[in-house]
Amino acid sequence: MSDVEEITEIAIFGRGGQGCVLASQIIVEAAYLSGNYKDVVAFPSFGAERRGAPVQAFARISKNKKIWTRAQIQRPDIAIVLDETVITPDIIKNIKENGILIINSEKTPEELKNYYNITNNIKIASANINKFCIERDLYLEDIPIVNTPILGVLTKALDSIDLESMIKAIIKVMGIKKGEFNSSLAEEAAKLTMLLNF
Amino acid sequence: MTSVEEYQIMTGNHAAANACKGARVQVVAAYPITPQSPVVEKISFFIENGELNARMVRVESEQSALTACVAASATGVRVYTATSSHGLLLMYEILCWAAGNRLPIVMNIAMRSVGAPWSVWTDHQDAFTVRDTGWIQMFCEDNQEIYDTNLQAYRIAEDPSVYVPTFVNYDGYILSHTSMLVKLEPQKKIDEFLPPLKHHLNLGDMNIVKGVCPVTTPHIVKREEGTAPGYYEFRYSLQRSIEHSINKVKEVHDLFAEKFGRSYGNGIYKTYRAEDAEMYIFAVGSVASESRLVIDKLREKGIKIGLISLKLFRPFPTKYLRELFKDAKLIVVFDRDIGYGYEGILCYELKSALYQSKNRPFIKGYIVGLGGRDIITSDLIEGVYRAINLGKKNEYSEQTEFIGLKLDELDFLQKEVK
Repeated sequence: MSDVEEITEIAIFGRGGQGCVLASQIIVEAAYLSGNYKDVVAFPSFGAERRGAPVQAFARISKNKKIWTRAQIQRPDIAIVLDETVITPDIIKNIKENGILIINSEKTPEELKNYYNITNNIKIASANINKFCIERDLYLEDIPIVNTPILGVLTKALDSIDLESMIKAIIKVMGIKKGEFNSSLAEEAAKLTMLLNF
Repeated sequence: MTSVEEYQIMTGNHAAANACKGARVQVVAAYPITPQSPVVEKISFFIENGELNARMVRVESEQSALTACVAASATGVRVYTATSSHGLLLMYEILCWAAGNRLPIVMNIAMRSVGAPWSVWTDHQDAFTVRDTGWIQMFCEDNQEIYDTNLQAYRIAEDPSVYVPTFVNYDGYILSHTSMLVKLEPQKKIDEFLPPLKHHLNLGDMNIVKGVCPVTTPHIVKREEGTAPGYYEFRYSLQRSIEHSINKVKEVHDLFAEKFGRSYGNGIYKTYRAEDAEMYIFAVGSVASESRLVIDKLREKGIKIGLISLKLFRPFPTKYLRELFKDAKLIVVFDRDIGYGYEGILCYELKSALYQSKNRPFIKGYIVGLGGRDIITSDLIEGVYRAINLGKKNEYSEQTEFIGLKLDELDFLQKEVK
């Protein structure tokens, strides 16, 4: 995360309906609430979004400088993959050096590294969120709720956003009723995190 | 930036809607179009929720939306609408009518490209297209600026020396759908800054003589002074009011800055690292904000360059720009719009403003990012370097240059016309 501009760029990959955009909004709330970031920006991929189609959302979080760039993020510091079926070689290749891949997968980080032949210097964090959802019967309109659990995983992989800030952010963005439920999912899923440092 | 609690994270559209709530708008009429729709959705929510006491007029088109606003404003209430692209162009006729009626309507343009081909993404073509309708026009670079400028816009438009409708423009998606930190102000403080609308009953204030009412049509009777008595003089007074509104824009900006502690350059343009600059980038909105990185990168290389981000586009601040650029050697203008058959609109407006200057800098214009094509910092830097070289040789190119085209990649085989 040694970007010259001290801006951390995050890209979230998933399918329409999985809540990529909501996840990006919660991440910037959490980053700001943590007190570690002075400026934050979240935005969807600028295009028509359809349920089931691969979609993206983005976030920029900055420790000191105001964020002025409005360009789409081509090479993120952190890639969050909500659905392993949308992954492409480019998504992995484009993660910056010393960046992080966070993925909803049944594979361990070591298995992922071999399976996708990951050679760049990145930290890998995985958790089997699909299984987590099936076990608890967590579906919204037949789509497993993966976006808020994976935010718990993010807090395990990125020191500067703590779980407590993430919980507060989920409640702030989603409201008390939905937020308390969803933040409990993030808290539980955080425990499933498997980490591989480079 | 102050404490965490004072800020909310919201999209540009929601910042605009919150400004309307703060301004206590009384009538809103709009028709949904991407990327503007969430503004009006949010306002509807405020009204249904009892947070805003306003009437939402449901209409069947943008033309009707603005017609409803014109009618409501003529009765003396504070009105608001927002639109984009084709919606704005469908309003064109009524835009002229609103200005002619001297109604202090405030409208947000969530800027979007105009078809064909179909595109919902940002550029500034829609906003620049309506520049000659007689409205004041301002551009924003971030969501806080949208909120703040909307509040200022009502105070400017409703001033008895102005009474001119006002556009506040921001980039579609790039601001409209992007979440940022926004500080919302307490209602009491806003009320102090923006008192209720005093309707423009005294036509003398607007340099208009009795008998020529901007709201009701004059009798179409042939008179000695012409078939439309006073039309010409009336249009003269509109032009004068718009010209003079620049002082009001500045004054309101300064009052706002004093009250709320946030300022945007001098209210007319914003500067970035321009103190000792010999050359400049000149741009508006998203292009200006992206250019800040370009300035940083070029400053690292020792190039004395600064950014002028134009906030007030109508009235065009000719006097201010002549003074600002009195020692400039080179100005690079990035236009996210185009005057077809000529060049970027901002570029030729600037050239025209500086024609009478003692110092005429070399001005190089580029077209960038039409239809939401991503603007890449390195592309802009390359453009600046090319402009520097052309400037040294004082070489003007006759063809408009575009940055970030993908002709080969997209298999556009059209031959360059010599």
